Amino acid sequence: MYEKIAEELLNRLAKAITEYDADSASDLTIDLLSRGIDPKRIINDGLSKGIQEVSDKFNRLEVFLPHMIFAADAMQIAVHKIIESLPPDRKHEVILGKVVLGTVKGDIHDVGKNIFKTMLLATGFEVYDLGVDVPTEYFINRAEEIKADIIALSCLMTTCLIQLKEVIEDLVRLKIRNKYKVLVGGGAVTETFAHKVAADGYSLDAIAGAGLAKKILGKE
Amino acid sequence: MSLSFTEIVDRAINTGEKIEVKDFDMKVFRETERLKEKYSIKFNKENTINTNDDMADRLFLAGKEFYKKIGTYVMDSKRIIKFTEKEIDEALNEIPGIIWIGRGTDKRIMKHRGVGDQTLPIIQGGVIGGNATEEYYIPLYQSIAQEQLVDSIYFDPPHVIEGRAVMHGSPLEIHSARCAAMWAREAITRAGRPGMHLLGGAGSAVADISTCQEGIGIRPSDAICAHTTSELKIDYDSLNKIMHTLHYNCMRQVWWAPVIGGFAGGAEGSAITAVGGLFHGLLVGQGAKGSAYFDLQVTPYYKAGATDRLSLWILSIAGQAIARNTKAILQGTVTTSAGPGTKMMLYEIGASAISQVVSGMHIFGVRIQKPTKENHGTAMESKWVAEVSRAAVNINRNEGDAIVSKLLSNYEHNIKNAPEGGGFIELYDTKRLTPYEDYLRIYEEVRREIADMGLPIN
Ligand code: B12
Repeated sequence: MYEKIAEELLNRLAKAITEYDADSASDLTIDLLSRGIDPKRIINDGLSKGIQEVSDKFNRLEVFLPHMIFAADAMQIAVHKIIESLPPDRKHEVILGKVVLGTVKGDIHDVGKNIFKTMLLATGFEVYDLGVDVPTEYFINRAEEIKADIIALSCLMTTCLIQLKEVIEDLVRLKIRNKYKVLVGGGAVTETFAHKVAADGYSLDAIAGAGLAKKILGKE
Repeated sequence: MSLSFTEIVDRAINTGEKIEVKDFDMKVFRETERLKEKYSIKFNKENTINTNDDMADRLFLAGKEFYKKIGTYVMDSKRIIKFTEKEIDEALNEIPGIIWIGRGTDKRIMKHRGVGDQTLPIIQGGVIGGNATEEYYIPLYQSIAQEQLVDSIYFDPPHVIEGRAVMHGSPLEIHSARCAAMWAREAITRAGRPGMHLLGGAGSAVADISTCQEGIGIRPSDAICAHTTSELKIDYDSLNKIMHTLHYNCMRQVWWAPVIGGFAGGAEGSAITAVGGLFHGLLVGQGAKGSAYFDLQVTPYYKAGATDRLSLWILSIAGQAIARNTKAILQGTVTTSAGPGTKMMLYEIGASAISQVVSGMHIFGVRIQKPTKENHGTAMESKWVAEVSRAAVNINRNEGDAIVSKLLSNYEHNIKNAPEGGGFIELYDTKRLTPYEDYLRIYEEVRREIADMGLPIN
């Protein structure tokens, strides 16, 4: 009986995400927490299930980038409810990590970066989006400030690829290279280039990129 | 009294309302959602070339209402440049509908084209974004210039110069851009067409501006590109290009690229922003001044050139909306999924060129959605797009739609796995500047096939 109610609430939570209903998602999450349901289960069987459905629809062109953003926003609000309810030593169970993300200096392409951002949010990362045309030192300062785990760089212009090298070289020069994992992606980046500049990870698409982010932090 | 560009820039940097970019993006989404209902705009996948005049006219009104409400977002200042209805109407009235591009005997008249207009479209050829390299630059562009049906040429600079990787906005970019402009001029001169109109897309404003020089570089009879960030955003770099062209008195290609699946949503929303972009081009891009032409570059966010049904429909209906209701000179970009030397690319070029020419547009192309090689393009694609476009002035939208349906059935299923094809070196004799047999054979086959489908190409 008890299990049945939990299941039904989790299904409703998934549905709330597919309907971009942040209020219901938040209420249902509080309800589930008060019934002692494990936060990880709330995320995996409720929130993530919902976001996965929206992302499948996005890939079939049934919904569009704004819908992905609405769904990710609703999910984020619910995840915050979970974080608030946890004692400090358990919060890390829910947040996979903090990512500083942006399109590098000189480059204003942001469609792919925005898609990657929603995928990261949907996977359970906290994302600090610095926008486009972001100078090297902004990435580094922000990462230091918020104690990021990952710096993610998007680049679509061959003539801006040098900026990826710049960020990594500066991290080394400042002796903080080991503090961060650097992920690179976007149309102009190739596996070979990522390797050449000694990035920690490269991915051709956003979904695999979010999986990779999990993997390089050992959260899989 | 016409609105001055100084006043527009003042709105951009000083007086426009400030908002966060995310809020602007969401406003774009909400407005397109609202307007597609209000004006009953509906994508029909069986009618890729739109034949519904009433819907094209409603789309025009939707695009106008959209732009009036939204304006242009300035990324550097976070301000919105907005215009009153009166200012928008004045700009619409001022469009001259005719410009001259190029010089001497290579000069061409570029006129507003209407739907079903028999006026030949201007063909602006080139290997757009195809990573042309220093060593092959002159032969590649000379081979394009020697195609007599190509009226004008677009070029962008190499990504590596003298063995060094070029960085955007740096002195190496200026060096690369200036060299490219000189080589492009050398190429057209060698082809015996020194006055041919050139369009430069160097990258940053400082690089584009550096190419502007009477004699060896971009002349006043040539043009540079001024980009618009999707959807309806601009940066100081692009505004700087516009200001410079007004002072230098050369031309501009003002272009915008609705991203299908992005903040404008699907087909209908993207079509509304496609028309909305025109008003941005007229006012912020100073297109009403008679020194600019417009380019609509439809861009799927997913893996596809602008040759799937959605893209072709958007190009055709937005083109018609603008052609029927303004005197604007509008190009559409031909973007393919497949690469050179493949039948698929020639089918895609055919479908795109037909859809646009019967809808009142001029032609900018060809570009591959995702170039993967150096010198990833040849003169053949420019020649082919010109031939198809010239033939397409003799058919109407219904006939065009029937041919496009047949072409689609030849490539549609391969869009996601399109062949990358070859580059200039694999497909052309780079000394004699002629295509190799294999490519010629493919071209001739497709030419026969498209004639059998009903295009009067012979
Ligand atoms: C749309 C577009 C524009 C729009 C951008 C709109 C916007 N808001 O982003 C506008 C019109 C503004 C534009 C402008 C320009 N553009 Co542009 N543009 C494109 C286009 C057609 C599509 C890009 C896109 O959005 N793709 C779709 C997204 C979903 O793909 P994506 O970004 O690769 O992202 C995916 C993955 O890579 C991944 N991902 C992305 N980021 C990251 C990061 C990480 C860490 C990870 C793991 C994964 C990841 O997730 C995404 C989903 O899977 C491309 C051509 C192409 N087909 O790529 C040219 C292209 C990128 N542009 C190009 C150029 C040259 C320009 C201009 C310089 C043109 C000019 N002369 O003015 C200006 C640039 C100005 C500037 N300073 O940046 C060239 C770049 C050439 C090169 N290799 O250097 C391209 C390749 C076109 C071409 N062949 O010429 N452009």
